[in-house]
Amino acid sequence: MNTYLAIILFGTAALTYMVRVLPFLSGSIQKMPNAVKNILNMMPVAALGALLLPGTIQALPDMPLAGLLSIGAAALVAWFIRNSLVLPVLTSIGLTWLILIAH
Amino acid sequence: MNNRKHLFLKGVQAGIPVFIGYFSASIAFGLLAVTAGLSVWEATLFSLVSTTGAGQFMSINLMMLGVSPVEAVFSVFLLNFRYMLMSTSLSLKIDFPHTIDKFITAYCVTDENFSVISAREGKVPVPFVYGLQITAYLGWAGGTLTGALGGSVLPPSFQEATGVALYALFAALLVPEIRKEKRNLLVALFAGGLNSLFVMGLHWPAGWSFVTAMMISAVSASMVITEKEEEAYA
Repeated sequence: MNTYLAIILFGTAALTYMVRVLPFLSGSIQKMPNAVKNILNMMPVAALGALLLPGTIQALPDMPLAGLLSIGAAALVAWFIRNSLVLPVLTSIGLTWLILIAH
Repeated sequence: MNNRKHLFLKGVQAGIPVFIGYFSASIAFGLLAVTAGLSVWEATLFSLVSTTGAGQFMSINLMMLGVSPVEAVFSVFLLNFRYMLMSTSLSLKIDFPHTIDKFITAYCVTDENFSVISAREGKVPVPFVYGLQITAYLGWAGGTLTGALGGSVLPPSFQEATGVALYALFAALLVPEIRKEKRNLLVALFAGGLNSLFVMGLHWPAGWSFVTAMMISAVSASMVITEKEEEAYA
């Protein structure tokens, strides 16, 4: 492993663990005001939105519509079949594959 | 069967969908990492030491662009800042008997584990959390190894198809949030719209864009929506 990769790998690991572990250890972070809790409350949805766009249309750089279609299909499957992450994921991979081989 | 074991197995059960989602998504990571020039064991090691889905994808992209290591690490740090908020919420949600359990749990705080734990009623016992996290962790590492090994074997069209898996996983996680509260769709679209503007319109770096879009959206949404929030993170 070269130094460049080692710094990225272990630097990322160390900082990510630090971010993950600090709130478990600090009582002052836990006793936060309600305004902050309300922000945290909205965080997962905001994060998912920002992860999905524009990532969804950039997932297949040459075929943005194929990515949008496949991930839209995954969302539809998730809407109709509750509590399943597997079927939406498999649907999107399958559909993308079909689009790519048909292309 | 004793209670701890029972709870652990419940966690494993809850982790199976995450395992499959992670496995297929990390196959994509393994493939991408090998394509970018990492060896099979380097790709797998990356997943074993950080388990940060979007962060690892971003990291590989940055490496391919040849950014400096400090820039790459800092971008992922910003992208992963959300884990601090998840950990804060989980530290109140999980029932910890010992301090050591906090150090272990913190190692595998991910978007999906967070969602599964948050969705449960009341305080969540630690054995359940371990069952879930170990299952998810094995899925992420196992998929990376499989993807890296299979990189050259799979037909190129299938390799490309797995690129959507992570986003499909994100979509499948967002849908129940929208079903719970319709306004969550607006919050997500607002965040996605802002992020798209930053990335595609203003050409900001991915890490900055993501963090800024997420923060602006969460803060504005929390100011617009003020009622009945207390119980969610209690």
